[in-house]
Amino acid sequence: MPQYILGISCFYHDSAAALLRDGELVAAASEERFTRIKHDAAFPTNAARFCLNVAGITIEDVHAIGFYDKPMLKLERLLLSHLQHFPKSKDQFVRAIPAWMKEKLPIRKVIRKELGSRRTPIWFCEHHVSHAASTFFASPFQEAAILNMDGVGEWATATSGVGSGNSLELTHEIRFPHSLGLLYSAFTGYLGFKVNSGEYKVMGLAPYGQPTQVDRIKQLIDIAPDGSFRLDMKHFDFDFGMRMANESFFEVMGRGPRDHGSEGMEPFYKDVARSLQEVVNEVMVKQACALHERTGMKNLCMAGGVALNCVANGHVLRESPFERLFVQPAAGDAGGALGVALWIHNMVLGHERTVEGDAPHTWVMDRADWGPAFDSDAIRAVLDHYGAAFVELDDDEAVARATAKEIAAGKVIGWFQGGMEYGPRALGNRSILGDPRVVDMRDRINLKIKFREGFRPFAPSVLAEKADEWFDLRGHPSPFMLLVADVKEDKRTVPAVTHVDGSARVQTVTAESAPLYYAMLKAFEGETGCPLVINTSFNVRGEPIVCTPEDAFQCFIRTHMDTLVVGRFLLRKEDQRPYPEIRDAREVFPLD
Amino acid sequence: MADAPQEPRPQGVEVAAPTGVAQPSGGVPARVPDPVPEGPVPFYTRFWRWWLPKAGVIAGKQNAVLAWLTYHLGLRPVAVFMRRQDRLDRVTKPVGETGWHEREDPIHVDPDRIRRPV
Repeated sequence: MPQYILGISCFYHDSAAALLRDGELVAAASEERFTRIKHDAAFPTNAARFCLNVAGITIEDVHAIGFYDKPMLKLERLLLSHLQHFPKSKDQFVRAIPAWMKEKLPIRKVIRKELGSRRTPIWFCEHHVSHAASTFFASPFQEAAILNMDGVGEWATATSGVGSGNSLELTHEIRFPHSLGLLYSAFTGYLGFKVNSGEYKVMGLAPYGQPTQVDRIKQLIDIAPDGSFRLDMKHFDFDFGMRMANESFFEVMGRGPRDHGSEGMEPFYKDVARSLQEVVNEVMVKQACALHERTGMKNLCMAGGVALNCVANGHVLRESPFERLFVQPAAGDAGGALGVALWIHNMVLGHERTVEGDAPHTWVMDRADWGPAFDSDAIRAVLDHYGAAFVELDDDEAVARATAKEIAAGKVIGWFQGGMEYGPRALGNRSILGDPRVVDMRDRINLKIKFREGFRPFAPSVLAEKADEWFDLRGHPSPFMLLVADVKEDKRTVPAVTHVDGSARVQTVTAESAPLYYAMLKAFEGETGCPLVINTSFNVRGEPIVCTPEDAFQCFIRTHMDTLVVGRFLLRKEDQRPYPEIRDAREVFPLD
Repeated sequence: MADAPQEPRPQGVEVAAPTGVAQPSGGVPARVPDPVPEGPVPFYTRFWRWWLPKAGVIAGKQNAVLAWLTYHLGLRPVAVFMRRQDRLDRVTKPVGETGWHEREDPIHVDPDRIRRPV
């Protein structure tokens, strides 16, 4: 009888579920994809059901359930914060406590009720141990140093340690309220974006500015030579108030915050974004160097929301002594579900873990398509229901060739194939694709298809064997689009994926991990000589990435996308009738 | 509150309850099924539809009052006692001093504590 372990993360943001069978991932997904509410924090009932259905089991067949943090320790932090700031903390307290009483304190009861589980043991893992397990136990390394950095877990905001075989130990931590993730979020709000949602926009904005505000930011944060840091808390309110920063913060920065949602972006705010990125790079590189000095390891595993900052990841790889870096695709809180399940398998149940040498290897995360997949019959039923006009292609090779031809003709393609990705990046299963050589392609996709800010960059998917010809990756694979590298000087012929500073967030694609996507890239190279395409997530601004064929079809109709390739079916926009019953995306999904 | 205009909510995907049969789609329908047409709505259903939002608002106000009372009556004495302690470590320290703490309590390997949410 196989041993199943179900991991759950929820109640803060990006709730998710993941299921292991004998230590191998069977299925994993974020709840937002099912509820269609971006960053949904609700208990992941739909995601958990989906995972059980993929394995063909019920909750009673599950050997153990894991929850990704220790709610009581979190409550301790919350209460201490409120007590220290009494009575200024009243508003936050009144707002936070009902959720604690209803869901977070009786978490064991909530899990049992939502999953219908009566006897399955439930284990609770520290937040940063979940992060560490999600990266180290999924990595191809037998031993590695581990660095986690996020907003905050229970008390820890950054942890470091070592993983070896089926065990890991986090030996050092930085504690709340000193948090690089919360500093980043404070600036996200300052720059007029939504906290806990718009952080990646700050990263995309940074290359447009100059690092002229680094000195001001360093009045807010003291960085030690070992990469540790302390925030000067007189400038921040996040540990007790309803806002991240206060007037003192604005005084230091010399200007008030940018209005949320305002049009245009003054150069000052671009400079702030760039300066913040420089500070984050400095902290991450210093921490990595100090960790290397302490552990002497060659490999580094990173997790936590800050590890989704692929610009800083690139700096760590290039400027620290570590030789190899692994960041799994759901490095943020959604990955906690996978982490706690792997922690139970390896550390609680004590299963052997071997990923190097001659012995049979245990599971390594080399792909991200752990979500729902749909067969041709299910897709055809959806298209027939809508009366869509489509062409059915014969086989995968025909799909790859036809798609490559459409892209080469300058069209924007909705690409829906195989299982949905786990984590925030679309990696060639739920993607919008385009020709990176077309000069205005970025503006077309940003403004007419995704309805998002014009400065947002697009990432390239490139054939793995051609990656080093085009990008300064120095032989490092980047299968999960979590590394930024410069486009080589002689290859700056792809303006749509080359950011203003000459960099690109690269995804390397191999035939083993994504055969159809790889075949499509090969066909595109055959058509054009260019082995890369634009790859951005299949959604519009404010919408979670599409999950089902129906989501894909509706997104296709709502936007100015030219072609939809869903499974073996190819649909062209000009062949479709009007669909007044499908409402405009901007009415359905509030802008983030 | 119940009468306030609501944002249109995206239509979600309801995943089928586990059946014990393996499916790559995980029981996710490719299309949200058409709603079953409703017959005449019984009186008690109409009553609950009318009453529940109001009950929710009343409960919300009660919660707010209780939270306020808990905060001011329950926490004030403790807060006054703890006021001078910097348990959050907010005080500015000398520049460059390390912020790393050694973790002394590896609770993730303590067999008792991994079974509890503390």
